[in-house]
Amino acid sequence: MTDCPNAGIRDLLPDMVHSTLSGSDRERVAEHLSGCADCTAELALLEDARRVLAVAPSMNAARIAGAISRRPAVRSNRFAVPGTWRIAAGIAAIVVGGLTWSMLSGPSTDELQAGVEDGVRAQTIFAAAPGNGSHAVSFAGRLGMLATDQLEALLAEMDDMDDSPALEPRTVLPLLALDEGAER
Amino acid sequence: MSEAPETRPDGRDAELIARWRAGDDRAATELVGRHADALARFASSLGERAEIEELVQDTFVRAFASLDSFRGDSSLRTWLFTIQRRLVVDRRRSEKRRRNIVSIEGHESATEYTALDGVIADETGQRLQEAMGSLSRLQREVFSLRVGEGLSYREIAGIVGSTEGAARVHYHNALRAVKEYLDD
Repeated sequence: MTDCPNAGIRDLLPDMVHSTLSGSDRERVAEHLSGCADCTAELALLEDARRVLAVAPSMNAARIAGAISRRPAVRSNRFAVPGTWRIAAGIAAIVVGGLTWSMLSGPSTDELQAGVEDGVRAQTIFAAAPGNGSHAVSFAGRLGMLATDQLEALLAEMDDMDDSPALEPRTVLPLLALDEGAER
Repeated sequence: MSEAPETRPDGRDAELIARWRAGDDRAATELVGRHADALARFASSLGERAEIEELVQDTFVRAFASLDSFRGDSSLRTWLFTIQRRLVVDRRRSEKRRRNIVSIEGHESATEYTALDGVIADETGQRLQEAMGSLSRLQREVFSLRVGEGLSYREIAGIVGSTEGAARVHYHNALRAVKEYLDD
């Protein structure tokens, strides 16, 4: 089987098979076919190929359509529930751990002094994503130094976070680094 | 070069999509009915034999879940082909060890033919099927989309992630390979 050198006509042969050529193109191809055995053979080959390619199991449209859900696609959001709960649980674990440690060991005089001299070095856990409003949770660098009212304020912030719009972390403590394998 | 009717940006598809978004579930059934068989043909042409309806169903589920991202630049069918192709690639990656496919650095030929092979009773059709089965995966994709579905090179390029010129080259290389196989 040899190839006709007229590439332009050969490019149109699949469209001839599908009857999608414009009137002028169809006439041009038909005129060429009347004098070209190679293209006539190629057209026949393509028609056979289309027949073979059409062999496929028939589909049950109703059954397939039944599987289509109207639930909106879940977008990746590290702070969507249960991610927010995970963060809150992590912070609570740190707080509890810090309290336990401080209860057992007690703050030393040096630590007390350091805490006063260093001042409160707030470590921002969350920063609101642009457009989501401002909502930050901060606490001093030494958990064991937090007073009861400070702990209560921290926990209250955590409670408020549950109702907050989605946040994206700017700075996350290594302990709280989250990797939920978000969908891309 | 004209486009196949089903692959031109279709007013009927757009209307059905709008109706589905408005809550008409029958529109989804009609959309599935309009394109499911073409997806099944494409899956078969890629060498898929098992669970084709499941593959087609997964394609529609993915499509409807991300309908907001369909801008209508291409036809709905072309977009569906793109989604299904990705699913086939994913499926093959996960099933590669189980399936009887010879893979030589990106040149994959489907060597497993099952029940569908018996449907093509004539010798010419069987030889053609063998010839197309000997093509590389990309050649087979381009050839089936051009000959089986009548898509333009531009549409094919969008589906397989290539350029229009490369799609034309793949098609003609595939056609030459088919002819050589049949001439042997």
